[in-house]
Amino acid sequence: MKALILKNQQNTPDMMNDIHSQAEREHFFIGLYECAFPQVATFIFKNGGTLEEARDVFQDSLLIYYEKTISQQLPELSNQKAYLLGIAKNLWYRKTGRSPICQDLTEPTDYADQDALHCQNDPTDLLAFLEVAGQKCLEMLKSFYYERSSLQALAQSFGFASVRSATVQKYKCLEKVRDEVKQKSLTYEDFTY
Amino acid sequence: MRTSLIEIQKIERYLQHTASAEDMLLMEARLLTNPDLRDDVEAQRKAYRLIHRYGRQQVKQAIAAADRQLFSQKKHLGFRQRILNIFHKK
Repeated sequence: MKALILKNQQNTPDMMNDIHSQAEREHFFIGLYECAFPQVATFIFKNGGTLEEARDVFQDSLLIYYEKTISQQLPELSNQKAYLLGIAKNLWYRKTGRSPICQDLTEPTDYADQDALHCQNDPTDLLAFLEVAGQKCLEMLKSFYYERSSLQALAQSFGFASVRSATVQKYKCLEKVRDEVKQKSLTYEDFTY
Repeated sequence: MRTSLIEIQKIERYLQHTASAEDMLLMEARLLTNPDLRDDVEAQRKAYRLIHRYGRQQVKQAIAAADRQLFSQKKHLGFRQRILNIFHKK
């Protein structure tokens, strides 16, 4: 995985689809750390930050990078490591309330929901709420709606004979979650990031 | 596909703006007169948010685990030392 990242430097949604388990995901992020964190740490240090701050900023940068990759919003750049550094720089400027004197136009700034990166709600509650759908359903829904896997990939990953079977199952799973939402009459605020 | 699932599919296409212009209008009209449908649409919107939050939570956990491994495991000592050196230049 690390080799994939470093050699191609252009991660694709298809590649993300190959990352199924948490262990694979961790390995993927370790590769990105080794590739890009030293530069980010150097930048944060030169701008008066601490190691802890550098780690926090980098963790948020990785999440933004990951979500941009799965939603196919990454620009066509030859150097994705530089793009990741750009995200980190912008997060740092935002965190410290400072603006760069001269901003690199290739650096991304459009993080629609970056303020939502730190959701304070208890993850246990969220899981308890969703588990009514069952683990397989949950993974399937996550795979399709969050990671934007195709229905074909969904059918393959979850062992369905056809795309149609996967589609029907996906809607059944969604129905379970939706009915639970209705039953619990959750307020809009419960879902605010 | 049973009727309730077809309805879920229609709501999904409406919420994702992937329905045809005609179907979008039809849904708008039904929403005006059908409170149950309005509840279904709102619940489905919330369901998508929940799923998204669940996905994001898992990614954040994986990132945090990667960070922990790099800054605690012996096999990553070289990397750790390289980073610590950056912050010990003062």
